[in-house]
Amino acid sequence: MSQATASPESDIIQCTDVHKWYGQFHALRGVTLSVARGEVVVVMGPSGSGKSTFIRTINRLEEHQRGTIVVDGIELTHDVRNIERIRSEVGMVFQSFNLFPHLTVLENVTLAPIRVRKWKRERAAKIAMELLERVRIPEQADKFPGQLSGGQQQRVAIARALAMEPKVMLFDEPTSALDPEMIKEVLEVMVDLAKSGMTMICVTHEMNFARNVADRVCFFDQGNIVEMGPPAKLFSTPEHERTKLFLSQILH
Amino acid sequence: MNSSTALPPLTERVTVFRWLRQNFFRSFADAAVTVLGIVLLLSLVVPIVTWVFTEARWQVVIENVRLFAIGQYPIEYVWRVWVCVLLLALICGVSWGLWLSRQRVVGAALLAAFLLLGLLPGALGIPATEKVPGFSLMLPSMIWLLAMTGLGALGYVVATRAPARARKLIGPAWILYLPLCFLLVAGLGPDGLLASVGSNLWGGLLLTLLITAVGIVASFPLGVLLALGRRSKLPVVKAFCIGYIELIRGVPLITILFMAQLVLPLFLPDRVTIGPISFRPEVDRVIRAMAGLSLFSAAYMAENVRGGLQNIPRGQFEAADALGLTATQKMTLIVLPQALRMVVPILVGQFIGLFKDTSLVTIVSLLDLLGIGNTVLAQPKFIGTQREVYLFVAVIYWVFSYVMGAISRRLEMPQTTLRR
Amino acid sequence: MNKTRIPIWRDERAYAILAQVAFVIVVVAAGVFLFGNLLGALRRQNIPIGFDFLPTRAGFDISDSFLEYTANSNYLQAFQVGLVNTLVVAIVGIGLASIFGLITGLAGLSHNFIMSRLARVYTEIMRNVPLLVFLVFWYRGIVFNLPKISEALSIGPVLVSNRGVAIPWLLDGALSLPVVRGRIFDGGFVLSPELFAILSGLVIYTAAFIGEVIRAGVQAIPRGQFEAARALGFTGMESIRLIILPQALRVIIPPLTSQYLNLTKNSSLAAAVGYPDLWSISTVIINQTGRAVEMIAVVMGIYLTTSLMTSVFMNWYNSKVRLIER
Repeated sequence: MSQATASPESDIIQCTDVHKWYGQFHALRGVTLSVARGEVVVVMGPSGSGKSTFIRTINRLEEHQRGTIVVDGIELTHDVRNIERIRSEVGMVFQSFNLFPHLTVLENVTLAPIRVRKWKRERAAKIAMELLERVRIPEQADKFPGQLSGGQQQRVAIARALAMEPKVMLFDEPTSALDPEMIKEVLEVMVDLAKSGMTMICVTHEMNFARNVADRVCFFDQGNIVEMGPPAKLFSTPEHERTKLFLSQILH
Repeated sequence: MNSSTALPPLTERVTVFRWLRQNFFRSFADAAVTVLGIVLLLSLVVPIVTWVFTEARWQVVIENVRLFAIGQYPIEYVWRVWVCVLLLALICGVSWGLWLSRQRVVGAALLAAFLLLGLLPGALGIPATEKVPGFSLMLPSMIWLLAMTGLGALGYVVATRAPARARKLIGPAWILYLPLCFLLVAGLGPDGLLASVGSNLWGGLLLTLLITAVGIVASFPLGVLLALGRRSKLPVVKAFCIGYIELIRGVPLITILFMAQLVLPLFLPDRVTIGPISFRPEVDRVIRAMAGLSLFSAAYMAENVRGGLQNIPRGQFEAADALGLTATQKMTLIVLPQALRMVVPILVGQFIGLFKDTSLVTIVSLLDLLGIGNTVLAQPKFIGTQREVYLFVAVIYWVFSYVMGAISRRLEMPQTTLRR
Repeated sequence: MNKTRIPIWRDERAYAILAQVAFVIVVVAAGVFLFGNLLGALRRQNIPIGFDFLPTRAGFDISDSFLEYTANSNYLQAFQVGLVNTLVVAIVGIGLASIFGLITGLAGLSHNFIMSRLARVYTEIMRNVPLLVFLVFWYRGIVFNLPKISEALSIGPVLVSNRGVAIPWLLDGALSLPVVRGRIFDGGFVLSPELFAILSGLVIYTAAFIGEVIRAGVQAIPRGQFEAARALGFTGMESIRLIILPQALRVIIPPLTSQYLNLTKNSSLAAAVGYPDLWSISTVIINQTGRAVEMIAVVMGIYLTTSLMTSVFMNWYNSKVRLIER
């Protein structure tokens, strides 16, 4: 974890005044956020506040209508080439894992490096096995996702995203679909990842994870960031009413 | 005194009388219905069975086995048809060994059936004599059937012993099989071992199976493309695909077959000139029927594949996008493999339907299994044997259809293990 | 949004437009090519395009007709005869098939061993035999071999022979029972062997499928509904009638309409049993006039309209009966 500095050169993600509408519904209302290299940002907020929508605009799973998003110096526009470049620099882990059920674990992890980065099969397999070791399930390499537990599947999903050697990792409620006994194993992997210097943006409700690892916590409500700051400060002395209300609801 | 030991259950004495009463005579109404059922059964079944075994003149079938099987295909080239069948047995054996080794029962049952068919006439001690003219054809057939059994078993053994090599070869084998069959059946050149045999001589079950096979192979890619187009976000493409699908599904197959026979040739240019070569394109009548059936089946296939596509969770598309896969890669590596696997049982059902629908080519004067039945009936020797002939044809269709359906139902089970 | 221009081939918005334009160009070009060939070919064969041949004298007889028709009538009238014939077969066929299908479906659901097995065997036979094969067998094998008219079989008031089937009918306000007089029937309504063959063949075939649809629909209702009905004191039959069937109808109607449509489309096979339906007469017209394109297009249009109307009705029905949920 490194210091979050305000200088643009070390900012890997710069979002300025990002707006998004779903028809008439104004989902994102001028979100401005900069994330430095190596920084870990946790995003929290009530459901429907736009937090998932926001991180999904960063890798173009959702399209923003106004404002600018710049990832690693590349601006996210209608330019297909920019979109492809950004997507290969940004890895994503989903709430429902989204592993490919017809491929083995190893095939899931090596698919993108082989097809997108055009690596040779042997190199991809080697890197994949290293990653599976890192997430602590190398022995499952030849199994199918359907044979794994939820926690194991999510760890495979993290390995799959890491195989592309991304500069940023996005996590969209990675533990919300897991049984309680499996949340810990996934969080451990995420903590390791943070400590190794990866830039991470996580949408999550796991307060302890935020306290231990996050450089910054952003509180989202009604389409914008209401309050932002180091976790210790935000959790103990929130300033805004809505932040206080949300925290009181989840800290029961 | 509480006892926590498990006691054996109370059993009801099951006697024949009690079972009868449970199932047939539970109440007065039930008994009446049972009696009605028995009366119905007897009044239908008894006359039919007696007719089949006493009055029916099965000579018509026995003497015309060759016509029913291959139409007027020249006898000296029949070995080429048999080669196709043997190759199929081999490929199926290998496929069975590679993918369905758990379904041993199904494969073994099929092999046993062929073995029996091959051995049976011999076992009954019927010599191949002049008394039963058509039978002299059956003797070599028995040899081919036995060879088929052998090759099927061989294929299975090869696949289980050398799976890696088999896996590499099986894909190309299936893709090349149909064109190879066509080559063998149609032939090349004016004479020699592979002399060409005009499609007007193809008939009977051979023609039916050929039309079915081509129909399946041609309608599959077209159907997938239509399904993808129907889901496209581009309004023009979507409208076109919807229009095609709804048009085809709304009209009877016979109209499409007629259109293929009468109108399709009109769509072709009168003369095609490529450099020094100039010719009038002509489309063979069998090809026209195949085209009509393929266009028809593709529309239904599209709807089935669309069902599969709709059931793929959105997250799969998103994960593929997030990893940076291109649209084509997303479709071919992630979406279609899952969608198609999901609809395999429905697709097999549709292919069986296609097999049955080929009977309509009779109406456009092609001599398929049903059409050749009409030819057989025209022989003065066999006037009045409609029931025998049509019953035989119906039974052949029934057996093929039912067996394919049963296999498909057996295959349905393991599919569910892939998805949690 | 930035100001620098994105090259067209990389702009994702442009892709949508370009792809469609390309698609349209390909389709239109193909269409022009194909139809150009078509018109050229017809011109070479001296076959004009158009419907001017309709008022021409037809010159052929039609054996079964509900309208006034002779060989001196024109093609349009012949076509109308065929249309009416098809409509009669479709409507009566759908009605009868529904009744027999309901019986089959209920039999299949029954606890009675014989009944459910009979239904099952009947369904399995029909599902695996092509309709055309069955129709031909039914017509040439069975209907041809019905007893001679002098020895006509009587099932209740209905007389069955190889010259047709006579049923009681309302004539001039009174019920008329058919009898055999010499070599013909007197009274009642006589179905020609062809009409009887296509109608009974279609009904027997389709009823099996309708039975399956009904059986599957009823079995789709959760068992709890049935148990709750019994617990409330309804008998088996009452439970089915009041609780199960109304719910099952929701599940049954879509595939049922699909079967009705199939029956209507399958009636086009009537030529195989010699019945002059819409398609059969159209083929005769095509033979005589060579106007394949127009006739096929019109017939397809008629069947297509029927299908689309049925789809519209079905969507309306589905929206009406959708379970009102939160």
